[in-house]
Amino acid sequence: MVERLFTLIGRGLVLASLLIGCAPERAEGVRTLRVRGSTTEALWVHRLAELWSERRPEVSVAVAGGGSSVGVAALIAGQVDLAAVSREPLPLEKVMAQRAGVELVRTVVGCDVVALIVNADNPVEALRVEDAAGLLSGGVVDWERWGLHAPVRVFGRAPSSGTHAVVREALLAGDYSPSAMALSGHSQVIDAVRETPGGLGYVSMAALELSDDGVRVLGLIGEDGEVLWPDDPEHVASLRYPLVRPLLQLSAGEPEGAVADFLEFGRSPEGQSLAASMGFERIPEAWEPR
Amino acid sequence: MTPTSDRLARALSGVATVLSVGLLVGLLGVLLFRGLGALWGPPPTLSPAELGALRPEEQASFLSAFRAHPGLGELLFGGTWSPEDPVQPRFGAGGMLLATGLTALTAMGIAAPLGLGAAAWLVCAAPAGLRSLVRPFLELLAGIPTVALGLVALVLIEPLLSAQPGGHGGLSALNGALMLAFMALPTVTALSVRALESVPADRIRASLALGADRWQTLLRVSLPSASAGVAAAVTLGLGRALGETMIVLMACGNALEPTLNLLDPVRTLTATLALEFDATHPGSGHREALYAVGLLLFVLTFTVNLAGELLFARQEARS
Repeated sequence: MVERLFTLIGRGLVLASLLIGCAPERAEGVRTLRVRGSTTEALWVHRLAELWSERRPEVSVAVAGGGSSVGVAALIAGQVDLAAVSREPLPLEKVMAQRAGVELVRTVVGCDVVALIVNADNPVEALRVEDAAGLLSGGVVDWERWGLHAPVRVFGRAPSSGTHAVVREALLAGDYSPSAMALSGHSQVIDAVRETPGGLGYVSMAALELSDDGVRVLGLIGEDGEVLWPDDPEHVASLRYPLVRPLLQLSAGEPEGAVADFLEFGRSPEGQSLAASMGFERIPEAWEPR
Repeated sequence: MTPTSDRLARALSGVATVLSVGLLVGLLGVLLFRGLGALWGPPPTLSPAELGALRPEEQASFLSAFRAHPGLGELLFGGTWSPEDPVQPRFGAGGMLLATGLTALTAMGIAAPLGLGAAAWLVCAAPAGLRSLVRPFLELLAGIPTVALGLVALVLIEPLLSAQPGGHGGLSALNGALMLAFMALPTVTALSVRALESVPADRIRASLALGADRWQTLLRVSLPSASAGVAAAVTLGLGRALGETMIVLMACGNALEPTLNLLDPVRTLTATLALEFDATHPGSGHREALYAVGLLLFVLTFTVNLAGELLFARQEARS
């Protein structure tokens, strides 16, 4: 019995090694452009890659998410050609890149706006920045002050998310509330806020383009008392609304060849109008491409 | 079988054994080396040139974060986990340890009575025809991919739980525990069946001959002599639940705050590794801390599984 089992395993191994040996050789000239990182940016880069592949059929594009930090770590480790990052590179990442002998070159390929969202039944319209910070960091635990009898539930993202980092950087002095949940994507955050009366979340406006039933976008009250809205073109273009962020592609060294061509296509009118149709913003004039 | 093919089969299977055992030992070695290194090795450092790449205002806050190192006490009992805090990084995995224990123990609290009950019915009371249907079905249940159970947690259990008053939404320790129980149930049942079946038939016949009915025989004769095997079944089920990742990642909401309330969202050790590892950089304090978390998880599941195997061996020896 045992003997027969071993023979079977042995035959399986022989078969497996034969199959591996027969894997098709990759045709000459075809290569893969590997992009990994921001889940926000992946919404757009997927479609961008499809359009670009029609012009450059000899290069296939593999787009993966995972979060901005995952993209940068993969770029430094040499596993990808481009890291999609929806925030500025962190000090730690600069050090790690230098240690690995990789020069991180940033290219601005788009502009995204992050919005705070609440349940549609929550009467709050806009928040002062310090109140938003209190709610997100756990200092304020209920919505009584805004006329809703419900505990605050913060629905956030994992620390690898660029959105997570951008909101913390712009609004919070420290870290998020320890009771904030880490969900895997924008649509999960939107779903959770829709179902929870006291829910509070942060998502890309592009994700709200796909579904915003049952949730409401909050304005942020600036220092002069003016309410700034994420969907007001002027508040966004002037960067007065605090949660406007660049969508970056980081490359290891100056982009060249197919990598440079892909980035150029992303910044071209065709790439930018695709981004606009998906709910991303025009790149503000104040931002340099590099 | 000809002698040549016999020799070939022996050689190949020998290679397969050496490869698989070697790989496992290698993995274990890396985990121990990295985990112990993270806890007691030299802390990660930064060279002057690397520091020079930073803007002056980034340097001061950054240095403290980079030189930080998890200590065993903080890792086991600390309640705050913010490994990339630029001012004062914290490596307290106590909350996650609590969450891992809370979800897995609750799951076994559900799966143990159900699995034992089903096993008792299958061995003592089920008609032979039905038994031959139910047993393979239970074993098939063990093959459900855990990501499918995670989807059940999101689509079916989450709306049910979030409708409960006093709950904080349906992604919680309870949601994960329910799915973990479902995942471990086939293991617990199958191993309990094995334990009950290993009770010598003459003991059962003797009990019945003395006038005890089947129920009395189960309670007074079968269960006591199968106790070590049943304990092994539950312990091995617990081992599976402690190490499971996908279900708890999808069902539990992943909030870091330490809690014992089953309706609160929790983040387990496994979920933290899955969420954070591939976003960390080699040599950083954060990655070191995750190696230590991995070691902690390994020691936990290894101890529980070892206990299960020992109990099982005792049962086999007893029968």
